Formats: sequence, C-alpha cells, structure tokens
Amino acid sequence: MKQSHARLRVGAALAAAAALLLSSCALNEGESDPAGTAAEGDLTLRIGTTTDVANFNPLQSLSKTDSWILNAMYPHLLRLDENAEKVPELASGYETENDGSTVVFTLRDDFVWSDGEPVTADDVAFSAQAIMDNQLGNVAAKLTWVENIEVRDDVTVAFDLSQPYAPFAEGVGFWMSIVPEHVFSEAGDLTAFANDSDWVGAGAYILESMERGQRYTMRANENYPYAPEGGAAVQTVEYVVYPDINTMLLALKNGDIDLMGNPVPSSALGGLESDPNISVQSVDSLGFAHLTYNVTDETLARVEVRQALSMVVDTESIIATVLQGNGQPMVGPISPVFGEFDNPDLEPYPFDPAAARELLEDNGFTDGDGDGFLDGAQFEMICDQSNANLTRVAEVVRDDAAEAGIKLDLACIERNTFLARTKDGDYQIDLSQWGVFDNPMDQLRSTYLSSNPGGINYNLVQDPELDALVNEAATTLDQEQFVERIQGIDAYVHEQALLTPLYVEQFSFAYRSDRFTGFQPSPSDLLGMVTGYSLSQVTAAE
Amino acid sequence: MLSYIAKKVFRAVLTIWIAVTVTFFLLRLLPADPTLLVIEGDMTPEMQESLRARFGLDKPLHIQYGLYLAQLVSGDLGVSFRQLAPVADIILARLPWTLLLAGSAFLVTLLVGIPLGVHAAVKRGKAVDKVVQFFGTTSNAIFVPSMAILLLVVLGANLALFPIGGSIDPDTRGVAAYLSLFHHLALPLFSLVLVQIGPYALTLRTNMLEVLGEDYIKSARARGLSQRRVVWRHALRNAILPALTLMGLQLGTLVGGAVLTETIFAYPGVGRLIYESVQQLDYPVLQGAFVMLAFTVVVANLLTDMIAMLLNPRIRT
Amino acid sequence: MTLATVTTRRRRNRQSFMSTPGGWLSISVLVLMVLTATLGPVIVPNPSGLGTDILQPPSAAHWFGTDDLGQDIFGQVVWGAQISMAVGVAASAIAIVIGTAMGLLGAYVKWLAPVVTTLTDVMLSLPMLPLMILVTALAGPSVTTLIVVIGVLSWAEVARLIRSHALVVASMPYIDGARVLGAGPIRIMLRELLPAVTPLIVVSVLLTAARAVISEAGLSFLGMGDPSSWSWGRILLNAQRSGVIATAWWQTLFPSLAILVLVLAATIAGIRYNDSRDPRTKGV
Repeated sequence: MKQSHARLRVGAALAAAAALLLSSCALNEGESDPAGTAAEGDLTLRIGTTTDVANFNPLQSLSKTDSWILNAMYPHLLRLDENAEKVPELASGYETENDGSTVVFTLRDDFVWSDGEPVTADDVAFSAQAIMDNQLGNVAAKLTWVENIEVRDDVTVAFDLSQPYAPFAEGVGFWMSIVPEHVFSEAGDLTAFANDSDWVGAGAYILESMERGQRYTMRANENYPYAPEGGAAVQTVEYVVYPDINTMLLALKNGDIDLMGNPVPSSALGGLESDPNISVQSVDSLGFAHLTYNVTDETLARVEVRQALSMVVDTESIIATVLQGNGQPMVGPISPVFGEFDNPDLEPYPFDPAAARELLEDNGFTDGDGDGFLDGAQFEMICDQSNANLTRVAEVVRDDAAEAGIKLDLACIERNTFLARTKDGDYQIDLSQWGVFDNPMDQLRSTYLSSNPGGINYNLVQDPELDALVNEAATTLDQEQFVERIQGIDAYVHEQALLTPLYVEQFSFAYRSDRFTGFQPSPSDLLGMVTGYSLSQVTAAE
Repeated sequence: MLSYIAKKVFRAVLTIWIAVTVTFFLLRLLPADPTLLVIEGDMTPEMQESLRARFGLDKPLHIQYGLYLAQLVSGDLGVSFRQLAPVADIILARLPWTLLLAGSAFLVTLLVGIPLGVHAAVKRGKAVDKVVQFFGTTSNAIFVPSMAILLLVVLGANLALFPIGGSIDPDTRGVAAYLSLFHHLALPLFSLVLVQIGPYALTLRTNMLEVLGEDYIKSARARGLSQRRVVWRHALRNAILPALTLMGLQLGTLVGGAVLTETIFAYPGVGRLIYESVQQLDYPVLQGAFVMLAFTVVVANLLTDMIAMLLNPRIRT
Repeated sequence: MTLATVTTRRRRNRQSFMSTPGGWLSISVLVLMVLTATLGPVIVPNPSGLGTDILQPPSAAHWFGTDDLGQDIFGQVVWGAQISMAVGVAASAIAIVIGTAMGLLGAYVKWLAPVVTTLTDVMLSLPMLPLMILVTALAGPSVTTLIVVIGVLSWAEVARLIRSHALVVASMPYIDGARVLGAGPIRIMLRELLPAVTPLIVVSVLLTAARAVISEAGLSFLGMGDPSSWSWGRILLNAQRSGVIATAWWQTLFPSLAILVLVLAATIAGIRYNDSRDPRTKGV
C-alpha cells in the first residue's frame, strides 16, 4: 500500500515539475523581450489587430496587418494624405522628361537606415529591380513598362518607360516599398526571404521584437525626417493580436490597448458612444462595394438587363441599415473620394423595381410560366462570405430583385472557392468590394482593358471603344484633358451599366482619446490611423 | 510487460502516421488552391506555375507524400507557404501555450473531478450526490464560446478580476511573471474545465459505486479498516482506471478543440494556429500542426497508460 | 421467455421511465423542439430583409430582441432549430450506423477485433475540431458537408460503447448455440447481437445527436457553417462579426439557451432510459 502511495506521490511530483517546466518555457519567451531597456517616461501606444503578421518581406504580397507594420518600417517614395492625394515621403518630388517617357524622382537626403547607412537612389533602384526580376507582389504589374532604371546620383533615380504613362509616378511611388540594398542583396533568393529578424528600416518605426501570434514591438526611428521637433512622442508602438474583435473592444475599454487597428463594425459604434475615454475618427475607403456583371453571359451582355439590375438596388436603405449610415453612395465606377475625377453630371439609376420590370418586359422578357419571375431573368450571384456586410447586402438585393421579377440565386461562398471562381470567370454576377485603388487611371486600366493586364477585369468585357478611351487617357499628360477623359470613361461605363456601384464604406477607428491625440489619418483601412507618419505625430492627451 | 509497452508504442506511431497521412491527402485532394491566396488579383499563369513549383505542388501525389515522409523522419517540418519561416518555429511559438492550457485543464479536471466523484458515491443520495449528478449531465450541454464570452464580460470586463485575453503581461519578471501567467490562464482554463468536469465526475461516481459494492471492499471494512482508507486507498485505485482512460481519450478533444476558447481569450495556442492556417491554405503549417497535436495526444496517452499500470500492475489488455 | 412476460416487462420499463420528472420532462422538451423545428418555420416568418428596430433588447414585439439588421431573433432561433437539429440527427445517424457496424464486427469477428480497436483508438486520438475545420474549409461549407464531416468523425465513441457491450453478449452460450445450428456471422450479428445492444443504440443516438448539435454550432460560429440557412451557431456568428457580443447580450443568450436546453433534454432522456432498464437504478 505504501508503495503505490509513494508511486502516486512520485507521479504527481513529476507531473507538477513538468507543468512548471513547461510554464517556464513560456515565460522565457516573455523574458527575452528587452522591454526592460525602455527609459522612464517613454510613451507606448498599443494597437490591437485581429490578424497575425504573416509576411515580413515588404516586396511581396501583404495582408493589411502586414502592411501596417511594414509600411511604417520601410519608406515609400510618396504617401497618401488625408485628402487621398499623393504627397512626398522619401521622394521630395518627381518630374517627367522625354514627353513623359522618363520619370525622375528626386529623393530627400535625410533618410537614414537604422544601421546608419543613408538611404540612396541605389536602394530605390534595387527595390524596383528586385520586384521586376522576381515578379513580386502587386507592384510588379505597375513596373511592366520600365525598360531601364538609371541612378543619376545619390538622390536622383530615373525610370525609362517604353511609353508614357501618366499615373506611373503616383502608382509606383505609393505602392513600392524601398528596402535597404545592402541587406536585401545579401539575402539570396528574395522569393524565399522571410526577413523575420534583425530588421533594418528607415520609416517612422522599426520592428524590434516579436512573439508570433501575440505581440509585435516597434521602436521610433530617431532619424525619421517627418517626426516633430525633438522626435516622436510615442517611442514604442506595440501591436497586440486579438483574434476576436469583441475581445478587442473590451480591451480598448479596459485600457489594455489604446487604438484598434481594425475598423469598428458599424453596429458596435453605438456601444462606444457613452464612453468618455474613447473617441472615434472616420475615414473613407479607397475602394467600393459593387455588383459586376459578367458580359460574356448572353443575357447580361444586353445593356437593358444590366440597367434593370441597377434599378433593383436600394443603395440608400443599404447604407442606412447594413452600414448604419457609415458610407456614401456613388455613381459610375469612379469613387467620390477621387474628387475632380468623379463625373458630377451622372444621373444615378433610380431604385424602382417596377420600372425595372417594365424595362425588361419592353425588351422581350415575359413571365410564361406564371411563377412571378420573368423567364430568362435568373442569375447566380456569388459573394465572399467572409465579408459580413456583403452577405447581408446580397440578401437584400435578392429580395428587391424578386419584386422586379428577377430571380437571384445567392452563392455567398467560402473565400477560397470565391477567389477560384472569380479567377476562372465562373460566375454571372459578382458582388464584392474593392480594397484600395490609389488612383483612377490604374483602376480603369486594370478593370476595363480587354487585355486584362491586372487580372481584375471581372466584367470580362472586350470593348474596343472602351479600350480606346482608356488607352487615350493613359497617355494624356495635360492635367485638364486627363481629368476630362477620366470623367468621360466614368460616364461611358455608367451608361453601359457594366457595374452597379453600391457604396463607399466609411471606416471608423476607435482610440483612447484620454491618453493620446494628434493622429493624422489617411483614407482606407489599409492606412487609417496607423501609418508611420500618423503615429509619429501622436502626442499624449492633456 | 514488454509486449504491453510495445503494443502501446506501435499504436502511438500508427496514430501519428494516420494523422499525417489523413491531413496530407485531405489537403491535396479537396478542391482548394493555396497559390490563389498568396497573390490576389494580378497573377499571371506563369507566376502561378512557379508558385506551385515552389510549394512542391506540381509533383505527382505519391512523390510529394514520399518526400514529406522522408522530411518528417529527419525532423524537418518544412517551410510555411505564407510566412516563409520554418514550420517548427511557428508551431513551437504556440505549442507551450497549448500544452499549458491543456495540461492544466487535464490536471484540474482530475484534481477536482476525482474528489467530487468519490464524495458523490460515498454520500449517495445526499445533497452532494444530487449536485454532482445534476452538474454531470448539464455541463456537457454548455456551449463553450457562450461560456467563455460570459466569463470574459462579467469577470474580465465588468468586475475586472481577470485580464481581458492574452497569455501573459510582457513587462513582468520572475515571480510576478508566474503570477501573471496563471492570472491570464484562469478564465480559459475555467471555460474548458467547466464543460468536461461534469461527465468526468459522473463517470468516477458510477465506477466508485460499482467498486464499493464489491466483496473485497466489504471484507476490508469487516477487517476494521477505516472508511477513509477503504475508499481512498482501495476502492479509488480500481475505480480510477476507466476514468483515467476516459481522460486520455478526451485529450484529443482538449488539445485541438480549444480553438474557440483560444479565439475569444486571444490565447495563442495551436488550435487557433490551425484555424488561421486553414484560412490561408498554409499546408506545411497545417500538416506540422496536426503532427504535433497527434504527437502530444499520443505521448499524453502513453503517460496515462503508464500511470494506470503503476496503479494497478494487473492491467494487461 | 413468454410473450406475456416480455410485454409486461416492457410496460414496466416505460412506466418507470416516464414516472420520474427527468423522464417525462426531457421527452416533452425534445418533442417541443422537434415541433418547433418542423412547424415553427411555417408559423414564424423567415427572418430576412432590413428591419427598423436595430439591436433592441427583448420586448413584447420581439421576444428575443433584434439583431444589427433589425431582424427578429426569436424567428432566427426558430428557423435555426431546423438546421441545427437536422444536422444533429443526420450526423448522428451516420455515426451510429458506422459505429454500430464497427462495434459489432469488432466484438464478434475475432480476426477483425484488433483492427477495429486500433482504428477506434486512433480516431479518438485525432483532434476532432481541427479536422472538422480542415475538411469543412476545403470542401466548402454547406449543410451536407457539416453532416458528413461531423458524422464521419463521431463514430468512434459509439463503436467503443457498442463493442464493449457486444463482447459481453457475444460470449453468452446461446450465441454459441446459434453458431452450432449453422447461423452465419452476419445473421448472428444482425439477429442476436444487434437487438441485444439496441437499448445502447437508443442512448447513443441521443448523446451523439446532442454532441453533433454542439459541433455544428461550433463550426458555424467559426464561420464554417452554411451561410444561406439559419442555425443557432450562425446567430452567434452574426453577433461576433458585428462586434456586439458584449452589448447585445440577447443575441448570444437565446441561441445558447436553445443549445443548452436541447442537449440537456437529450442527455437526460438518454440517462433516464438507461436507468429505467437497469434494475439497480430503476426509480432512483
């Protein structure tokens, strides 16, 4: 008896020891964080994110959370200000030569990598060349016209294009990350370079340490030229992972974090209003939600059908209920966020299911079998079910379409299948939301050219007239003419009803205004409040 | 004795192998294309082909399988599609937390469930017994996310007794770090334990009732041994074995099924890693995670079998 | 065993099952649930469209309150009963069929026994929920996928239970007698073993279905459920996505209660049924 009792004791002791050992393994991870070296009085800003950082190589494709951290760390030539306009960051400006076939960027001379090396035109040339050589990320497509990159001196780099392209400078300037040539050239195959340690950056904040799945700690770069006099007030930025947005909301209210990187869902905004410590700042999206029609389908190839479909969408109610008012309508493919490029004379298609039905009937549609639906007016609408708003919108549109005698079969499918089907053109109507368009020309080229250079011509439209309009605008260098031509395409696509725009979403970001102030937000949830520039301007609240 | 151990080890290896194979083929035979998620939108067919080649997905299925098995045997779990980092690094960053959560849930269920079951059996018909029976039937019916949310909102947010998510406070050191660790562990642990302790106590109660009715127990009492000795030394030793086996079987659920708890409490375990990797179609991480989970469950089962053997050397199945 | 004694024994069993509050209460709840699932959608309108009362707590107009689209949560729970229970029952059916077959084979066919036990133990050691997540994500979420996945991954516990009891029956002399009389293994398993374990199957159906309902809710909560139909897990998912879990407590409470009540009723019914047949605990 005593033997087995002793054995039990030994067993229990072993188990307890194992448990302690395991927990100390976990604790060691915590202790390797050199947070202890932070000086007294340093401000730390904690930002919540629902997604873990997956990719640390800025030349490759990035998720939003990846972008937040990497864009703060690696400078871009240009950045987007609160008016969705490109302003200098690493580049102090750009010019064109040779009638627009050469674009010359002039760099600031006061950017320094965190290991002491200055940022020069060599880094810019290297970054662009690496992207082109390896066809990396979404910037590769923007560099397709580049024939040659010339480093003229430490602060001047010229891109020779095979043909003039007006938005080249803005597109490449905004999207391309500049990486340190002296570090990345040693890394071997850049397609396999993880870049998950010993970070060397020149942006406002540099990654210092991380615990995968939990926490990413960044330190202010004292050499960041745009920091206010005396350096940024926020010395440490910590991204903390909360997979569930509800938990993140609780953490914000509790003060565990100071800012939510992800936008607050519209329905949750009400719960924050009563809290005096929390404020909300809103920005517009740089994309928009839309219904896009596959015009290779013989019914959808008819413009009256597309126009009728445009009349069964109750944009006002959708914005009021699904978005709780946090959005604005748009007409035509150019978002109002792009200011002067959005054609102001376009008449929106009215929400009128009865008129839609009439339009179809006038064009030969009848209800032969008496089931309430017009024969032949049946379409499958696919959407990405991970977008909560769009799944709701799909239901609403289906119900309204039924009134017009149009039968919509919803296929709000799982993301992977959705991506596969959109890529294969296996759909009739595509309900989705564009993420970020930084300029209207790139948007129109990617979405309407029959050659489909960006792979996102979801209309699968092959219209020589539209091609001509787009290509003409692309080579227009005179600003006034350029705006006119973009507006012209806006009108053309609207009349053709190639798409039915739904809304431009407004993103709301919540933060502890009792602790911090001075954020400089930029549009879209890709940038929002967490750009390096914005964070460097933050100060403690009084 | 040796053949018993050998049989157990064989079964352990078989389990791991099946987990590896099932995951491997499921990922490659079901319709989903991981290359689509790496670059969205502008991807030319050439880019897609080179991606597939880099992921090793262009080779015939049996060759891929063979390569992977060879890789596994040499201890290499491969490289993540998405993060480009070694899978082992990614999983090892999360595994300690899963082990901590599952391990402590296991221990607490045992340490609390056993006395509960014993008392319910000994004090049959009394209040304790009724409570344990009631709890035993109801606890399984609780939907874990709802319980977790309730605990988080009430105990974490409203009463501020426990932290809101996370695994540990990174600014703590030494003893304070341990305290922080357990402070963060409390709510997720409670959610998991609450749901499974009921059936466990109930099973133990049933087994104890059976054992207590046996002849040798009566003879032990007749010999004058105290109630406590009879119950805790003799009866429990025999009653605990089926319950221990039950716990061992529950380990599979515990280790992987904590994904819901991990999501709500922002607890960085392997369950949540699997969920994220599924979203991103990160095959190497998924395969690696299943291997690790199967391995953990198998090792834990072996341990419980060893303990069972220590307690009652007469066990030979 | 004469017909008379068999029938009186049966009547006695039924009496003692229903005589305890646990017995008749759980059965009535189950019946109520089934009625809600089948008749509810006929009486209660399908929650759809955009309502005007957004995120309202329970009131006379909306017994369970409204969600972020203004839809009636009571309607959602009623319609959700249909899918949640359908998945539970169908998945359970698959698990029972496979599990019983495996259990009987493992008990009676000697050379298959080690194969079955190994297979069962291995299945039980695999992490269930991650596997379900994996397959559902890859195959595409739909009611069918859920039913198949949950069913196929739940047979092991049933097999274990059936096998351990079938073993006892298989060693009884009358089985040897049947074999001597020339009955083949299939006939013996179907005619003798199966009826002997039928009470266990009844209990297993209830418990497995209850577990399947919880698995379905869990998968739906993770976004793996069928997005075109209502289920209790989906109501919770909507609350989670809208960020209102902490504020709109009614959206989380009522589907959770529904799950709790259903699973509880099924479990208690199973236990009462078991007890009512066990002479030692009858009437306790």
